[in-house]
Formats: sequence, C-alpha cells, structure tokens
Amino acid sequence: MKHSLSLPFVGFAILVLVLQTFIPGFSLGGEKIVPDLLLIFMVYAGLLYGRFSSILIGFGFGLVQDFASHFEIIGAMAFTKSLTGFGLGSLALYRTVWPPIIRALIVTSIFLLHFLLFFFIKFNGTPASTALLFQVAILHTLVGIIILWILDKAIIRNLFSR
Amino acid sequence: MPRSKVPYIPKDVLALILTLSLSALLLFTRTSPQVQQLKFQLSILLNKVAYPLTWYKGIFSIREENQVLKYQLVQLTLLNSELESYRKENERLKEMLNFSNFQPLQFITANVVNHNFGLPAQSVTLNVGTEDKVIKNLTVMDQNGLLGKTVQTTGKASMVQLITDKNFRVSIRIGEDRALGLFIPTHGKYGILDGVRKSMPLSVGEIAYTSGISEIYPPNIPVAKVISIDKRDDQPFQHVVVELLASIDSFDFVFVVL
Repeated sequence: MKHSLSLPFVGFAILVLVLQTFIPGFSLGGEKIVPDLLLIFMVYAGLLYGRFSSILIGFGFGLVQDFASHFEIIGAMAFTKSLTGFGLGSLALYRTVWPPIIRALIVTSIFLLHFLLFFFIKFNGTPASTALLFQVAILHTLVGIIILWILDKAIIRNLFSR
Repeated sequence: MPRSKVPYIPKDVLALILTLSLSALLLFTRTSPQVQQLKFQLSILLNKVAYPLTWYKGIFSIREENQVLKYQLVQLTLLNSELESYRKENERLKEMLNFSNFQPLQFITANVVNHNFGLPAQSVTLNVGTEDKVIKNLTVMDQNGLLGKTVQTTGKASMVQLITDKNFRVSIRIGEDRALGLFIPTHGKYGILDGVRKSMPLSVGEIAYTSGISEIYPPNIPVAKVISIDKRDDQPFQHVVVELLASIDSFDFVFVVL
C-alpha cells in the first residue's frame, strides 16, 4: 500500500472527474441512471492508498458531484462517498486475507449501501416510492460492478480481482 | 520516565469524522424538502435513542415536582384552615347582624341606579320599591350619615330627595344640651344649622343628629359636622356652618330605613 498520492494518479482522478461529467446515462422511473466512474476509481484508490486517502478522495469527489448536480442536497454525496471511501479503504487491509469473490461481494455491498443512502436522502420528502429507491440503487450498483469487472479484467489487469 | 497517556485517534478515523461532519454541516444548511424531511426523521430517531436518558432525567424532575407539590399542599392546607376560620367568623358576624336587625333601626340595602343631579330637585333613583316594602317618606342613609328621603315609589324603584336639595329640611339636635335646630342645605356638601340658640355651647367638629321630632326621620342619625360657628350680635341665633357626613359625591349603595 502506498502512502502518498502519485502525480499520475491525481491526473487520472481529474480525468475520471471530467469523464463523469460527459458519460451518458439512461432513464428509469424519471431517475437518470449514470454509471458512477468516481466510485469505481475509489475502489482502486482504496486498494492502492488505504483508508485515509480513500476517505479524502471520496469527500472531494462527492463535493464536486454535489456542486455539479445535487445542489439542493449539497453534502449528501460527499457524506456517502466519504463513508464509502472508508469502507473501500478498509478492504485493502484484508486484501491478502479475503478471496476475490468475498472482496467482490463486499464491494458490491458497499456500492449498494452507498447508493441506497444517497438515494434515500435524494428521494426523502418526495413522492418517490421505496421500491423505486431500491430499483435505482440496485441498478446503479449493477452498472458500477459490471464496469468495474470489465475495467479490471480488460484494462487494469486484475488489480482488484487478483 | 512515565509516558503520558494521550488518547490516540487513527488519522483515517479522524478524517472520516471530519469529512462526515463537514458533509452533514453542508447538508443541513439546505432548506430543500428532502433535507427538511431528513431533519425531521433524525429528530424522531434522536428522541427514540435519547428516550432512556429523558426517562432518567424525568425521574428527577418528577421528584422535584413532587416536592413543589408537597410544599404547595402545605400552603393550601394552611390557607384552607385560615379560610375555615374566616367562615366561622363570618357566621358569627352574621349572627351579630341578625341581632342588629332586631334593633329599632331596620333597613334594606338598595342600589343607586340613576343620578338626577341635573334636575332642579336633586334626587337619585333606587332599585327598590313597594315590592320591597319601601314607601314614601322613608329615611335614606349611607354608612356615614343621612342622605335623604324617599319621595316617590313604584313597584321596583323609588326616587330619593337628597339632603343637598334646596327644599330639603331636617330637624336636628346638637351639643351637650341636645339643642334643637334645623338643617338647611346651602351648596354642595355644606349647609347651615338654623335656630341654634346663642347660649348653647358649641364647638367645631361636633356632630348634628336627627332629632326624632319629625315623623319621617328616626332619632340619632348623624347628619353633619360643625365646621364654623359665628355668634353675631344682631342675630338671635348662632350662625353654624356644617359639612354633610354622608358621601354625596360617590355612592352606589344606600340603606333605606324601614
């Protein structure tokens, strides 16, 4: 595990932020499903740099996302992404202990909790049903996990699933 | 050398606490419906979580409240016993009042319902009449002295000619010798005593009472107080100026002597 962020990593983080802005999505029940590339990036940040960096990166990403698209609930994404950063960073501590399938399950659970918490705040006080909340959270999680699996297998060469 | 034990917080936990606090602070500064609802839900949750603490504090507050109530109970008990003594005293006074009813001077209480000071004859209207056994020519007084007499009655009301009326006259007795005289009103609460002989020793402050000679007024009702005495050589009687004892400026209740 590295202790200080490398310059290429920071540059890559900025690139992911830019990509996140332009990535297309699809609509479900009036809610747009957009793959969360920042979350996927945080999985690798957690694996490579541990909890502390992961939390700060998550907080930074969350704040940017809040200012960019969730101004009415500013702080919600920063809150959930900080928590997620803590969870994903903790995963690095057990990288050599847990087999890849357990790690995948843990990451899936963390993704799901992240989206559930965020969309709970977003849908709170609105007519959106609990079913829609779960649908949207599960779909976001699935999309995220699929992209992570593809990236890990095809581009990053099993950094996560090794 | 002993090392001081400073509580150690891992920097990642500290970072998590800081970022979460900052995020929550940002979130709760918003006024969107989502945040409002979230605040509401959190307050309910906090209430439920803090229920044991509230319950624990409630026990102490109940104890304090109990002490206050006990203190109030003692005070109320004392007050109650005081009121009980007043009740007995009231009964005693009522008995005394009943005793006084058997005295020669029997009266009823009446309310003044109208003042007719603008009329040439100064008068007031009372809310008692023939139904209350009030007839014409009954003495009307207040707690200080003579006020007038009834001049007209109906079933439920009666008119009283006031002592200040220009045509009002009343026979009085004054001084140690109980000398006879006649009260004549002059202006306001003042009047003169006519017919008081010069040889009669009189001093300022003496009280003139009804003589009882008249058929209307019973004897010994206070009428007026002497305020000045003038013995002129060219006059056969003393010139005595008096001030009325009855409160003619403000009266709501009067007594009609039956």
